[in-house]
Amino acid sequence: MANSPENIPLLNLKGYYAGLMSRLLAFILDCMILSIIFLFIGWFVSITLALLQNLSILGIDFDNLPFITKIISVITDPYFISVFIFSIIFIYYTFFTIFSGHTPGKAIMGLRVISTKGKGISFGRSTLRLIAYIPTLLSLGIGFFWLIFDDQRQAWHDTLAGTFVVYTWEARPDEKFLKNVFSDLP
Amino acid sequence: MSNKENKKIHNQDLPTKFNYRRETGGFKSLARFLIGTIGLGLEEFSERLDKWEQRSNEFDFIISSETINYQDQPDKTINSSSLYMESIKSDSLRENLQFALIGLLIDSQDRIEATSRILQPIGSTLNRFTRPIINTVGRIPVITPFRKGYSSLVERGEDEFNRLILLGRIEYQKSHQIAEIAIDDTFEETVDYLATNQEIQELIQSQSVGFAGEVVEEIRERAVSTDNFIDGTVRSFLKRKPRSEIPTPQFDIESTKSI
Repeated sequence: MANSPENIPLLNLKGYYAGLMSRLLAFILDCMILSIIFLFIGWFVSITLALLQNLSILGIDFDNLPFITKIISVITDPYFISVFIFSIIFIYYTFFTIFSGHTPGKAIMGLRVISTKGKGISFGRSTLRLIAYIPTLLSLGIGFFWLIFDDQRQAWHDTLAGTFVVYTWEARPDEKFLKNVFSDLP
Repeated sequence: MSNKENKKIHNQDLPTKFNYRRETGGFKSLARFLIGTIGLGLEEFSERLDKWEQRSNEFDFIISSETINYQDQPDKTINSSSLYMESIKSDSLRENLQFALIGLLIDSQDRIEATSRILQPIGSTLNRFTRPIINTVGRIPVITPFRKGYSSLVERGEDEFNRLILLGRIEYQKSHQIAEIAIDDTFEETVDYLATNQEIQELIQSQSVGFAGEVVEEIRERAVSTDNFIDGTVRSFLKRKPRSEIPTPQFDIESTKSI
């Protein structure tokens, strides 16, 4: 068998292109963090709306306060909610990627986004990479899983934005884990 | 109802005649605290002793009901008494003396108990025989004044004894409370100290951080293993050149911290 623990290099992979599982886990972690942020914002907004509703029950007429009525109608508008969600994702993604080179999920997994020249990425490239996620996700994940076949382990959004994702830690495979995996295989 | 609750005496059980004045002061409080602590300690110790005794009895039962097999010499089996004899031979003189003293202590206790069991029927028999004689002598008119004086003395003694018992019971309850409060307060203060102590907090924090770091590293290593496994499998299936032949990027990763 060509793929055995002996054939997998157990070298220090720091600076090497990151693989599918590491990136997938980082993506899941980012989704979880964003979900917590959205839950918190949602809770805050719903509490505020409930308080305003209670004020109307207490006899405070909102017809005399058109500004508040307008704010409520804007907040509950589906288009506004979509734009708001995208803005949060945009701020989260670009802020962390520009200033530290990785989102919190990628930081936990020890990954960093760099340009094809090995530099940190700019605001423009970061925005382009975020927009390039759209075709990657619309392709039902094919664009993401493409990195398995690519020599530089680039997904579609990496290719479109001209970026690599590399390991930033002394990445070594877990020998014990590999042996267990191979011993379980038929 | 537990033993502790049984021992608690409520004020309504006390006679109304008895005037109890609770005096406070340095020595009295200290005495109460000491009595309470000793009382509590003895109760706890007694409970534990019972438990240890029960466990020890269970162990004795196992030892006496089983023979011991040597694993490496299956033909050689010994029972508990032969093990005891062998242990005597192997112990030093000092240890033997120590064990002999312990044995004597326990044995003398057993002997006292046995003797008291023998003396008890003798005492009651003697009482049965002497009581009619004492009663007859007591009815003699010459002795009547002495008898009255004796009875009043006994009554006074009994009253004093009862008073002391009641006082002791009340004081014991109070002492119990003081000791409980002292232990609770000490426990709370210890917990507060542990919670607010900077060094202990740092120790706990460093251990938690260390553990979290280990978990993250384990996940990373497993993820890298899976990365390589998937990559190798796909590449061997598609007959593409192995990953080891693809040149490693020559980037200085540390320099990518800033733009």
